[in-house]
Amino acid sequence: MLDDTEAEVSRSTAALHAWAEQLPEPVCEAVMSADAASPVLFRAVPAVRHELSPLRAAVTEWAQGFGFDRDTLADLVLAVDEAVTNAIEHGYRNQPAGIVRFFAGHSPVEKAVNVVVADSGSWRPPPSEPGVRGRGLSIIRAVTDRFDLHHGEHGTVALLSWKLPGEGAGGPAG
Amino acid sequence: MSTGTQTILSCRVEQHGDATVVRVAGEIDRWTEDDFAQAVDESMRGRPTRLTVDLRDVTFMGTSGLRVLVEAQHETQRMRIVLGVVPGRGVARRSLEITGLDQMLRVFPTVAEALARA
Repeated sequence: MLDDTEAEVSRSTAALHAWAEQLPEPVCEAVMSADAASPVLFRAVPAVRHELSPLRAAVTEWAQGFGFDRDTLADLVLAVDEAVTNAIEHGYRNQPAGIVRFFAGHSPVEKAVNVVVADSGSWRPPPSEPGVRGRGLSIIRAVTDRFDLHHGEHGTVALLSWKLPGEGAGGPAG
Repeated sequence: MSTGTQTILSCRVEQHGDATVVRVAGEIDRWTEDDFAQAVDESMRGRPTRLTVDLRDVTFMGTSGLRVLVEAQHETQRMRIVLGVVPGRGVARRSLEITGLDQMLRVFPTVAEALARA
């Protein structure tokens, strides 16, 4: 028999897997490979700007357990904020009450942490003017070990990954 | 208590002779960007000779905050105000480094040095 906490974890794992199955395959794999024994964040937040701060706080707390150095931790929070800000700004111009789905988990297989940000809005390319806001995607690309962006008819899905400390940032040389 | 009205950014403007210092504490993101921009704009209104933005107590700064600094750089150049930034050793410094803005802005280790040398 499951106690209350176990039942809750089991329900949320089922919800997580149901959600993951709708995602593009590589993102689905990243979510499914999450270690159930490690802390996982799985949230649906309204697409409003004041949700950014509590989400950053949750991500900071979650990420602190993996041994990243201070700069990598700052990079991770910065990149996640950019991705969520994009989801809020670009995905919901015509749908004020939209939802952004957020996942963060540790994949023992990939020896990495994965963050997924998904919106159900219509994708708009970042502004072509070289303004700082247009650099948001370049910043994410620069500070992640892996960054995939999938645009589909159901919205945009971003996957951000960081190799765990000591695992190396790149793949095999050559 | 509503999360939506919780204060996560504070900006205080101080006068030091003909120089102005904006002391910023908390988080600069897409939500608080306008408050930060407003504080910087107001601090320029008195046409100080030097404007120093003290970011040492900033606990988060995304591209929203960086954009305000870039605009402030353009505006202060136009108004012949010398802009200095004190990022401290925390996340504001990291955000400036990643985007290369630390090369574009006048960066100082302390407010005293910004006031003395800016």
